[in-house]
Amino acid sequence: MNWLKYVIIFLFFVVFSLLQVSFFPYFSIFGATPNLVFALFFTLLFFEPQAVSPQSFFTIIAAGLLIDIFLPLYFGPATVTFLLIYLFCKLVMHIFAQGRESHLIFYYLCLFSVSFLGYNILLYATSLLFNFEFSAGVITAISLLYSLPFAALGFYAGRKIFFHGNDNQLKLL
Amino acid sequence: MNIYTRKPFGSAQGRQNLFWQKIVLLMAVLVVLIIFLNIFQKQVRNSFFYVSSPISTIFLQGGKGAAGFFSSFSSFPTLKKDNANLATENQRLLASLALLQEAIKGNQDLQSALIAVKDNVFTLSQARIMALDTQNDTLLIDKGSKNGISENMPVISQEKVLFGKISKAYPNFSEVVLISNKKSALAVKIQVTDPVQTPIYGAVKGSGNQAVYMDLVNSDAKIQPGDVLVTSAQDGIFPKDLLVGKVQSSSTNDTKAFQTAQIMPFFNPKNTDSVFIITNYLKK
Repeated sequence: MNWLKYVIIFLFFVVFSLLQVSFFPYFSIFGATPNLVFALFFTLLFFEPQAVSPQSFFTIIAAGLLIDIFLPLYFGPATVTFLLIYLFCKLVMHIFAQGRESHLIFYYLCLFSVSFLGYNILLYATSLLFNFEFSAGVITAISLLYSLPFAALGFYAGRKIFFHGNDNQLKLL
Repeated sequence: MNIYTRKPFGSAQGRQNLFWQKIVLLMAVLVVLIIFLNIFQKQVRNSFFYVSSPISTIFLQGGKGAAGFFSSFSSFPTLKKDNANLATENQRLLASLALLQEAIKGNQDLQSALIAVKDNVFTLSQARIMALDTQNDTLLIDKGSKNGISENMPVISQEKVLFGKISKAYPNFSEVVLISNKKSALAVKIQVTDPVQTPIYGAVKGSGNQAVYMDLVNSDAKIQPGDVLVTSAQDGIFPKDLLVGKVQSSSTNDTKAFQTAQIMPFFNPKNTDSVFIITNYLKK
């Protein structure tokens, strides 16, 4: 039933991406909407047991593909950005592996914020390179604040689903 | 000694080797996948939009309904003020209408005016909004190249309010870049009721987040708050006299040759279900 997990993950990504572009624009704050795809991507990578697994590979592709579809450009920028963010997060999680259990939500939200900003900076740099419109600046900060509650929800959902107090969780390998 | 002897996976070095092997493999597969997706990008995007459009429609309707419900609470305190403003504006519009009717009655060249109006009858294709990107000022609509839609076609509302133009046409869907997109610019003029008065020309540029401003206006021109902007057709993309927005305030600077003005755009994608694409406008 391993394939079912991938189907469910992909369906979640599809629904979240559609909510992001069809539902939340009506609740935008100064034009900013929450990045639900990024929140789901981050939750999955944070709670996955191994650094490089078929699931992580699938998560990067699913998240990247669904962001790329709505970008006015070729496929690839968001997927590559997600890959870089993934490697960065895994490195940080490896370095700060010790003593994070007591402040897990704080650690999670800090890492989410840094990754979110990194993601937007990378996509903004790509937009300059390929001459397409990608808003950054204050709108990114508002979008981050808007996304944080959803990330926190993702954290508690992820902890309930994936985290069992196992020592092997969150390790690089 | 065999230098290619594999390190056991149980050791730290073995684990590290495995990690980098996985990373290299992952990147290779990603590169192949990205190349494949780009070769068939129109088909991939079109298929995704086609399959997801029923869910998108549900979310759009849900979002609009929920937003309308909440905004009715938030706008309640300002209703009285808004009502008074609308009444004032209605009176001003009625006065303008009366002036226009007088001007038409007095126009000796009525025949040529009728021909001009006839020329402005467009062939329109109605499309539903499927997705709205408020951060990048783009829309996705459910008509594409199979419906005769092609790039740069103007997109308007039922009331002839300009939304933007088609930036990309897929077989069943199209992307619309709104006039508020930061890369958007179009030629406009201030609508004048007095035929003796010289029109004021300028350019409306997008500043993102559904906001626009007017630029390249002669510093001597007198812009008044409330002046209505329409397209001037000088750019060859948009037909003339499509409604763009209303002047809120203008600013002049002695060091600059041109003045700028803040514009309140008429388009509102959040309150619009359908848009119309002008399919027969020929660039002259």
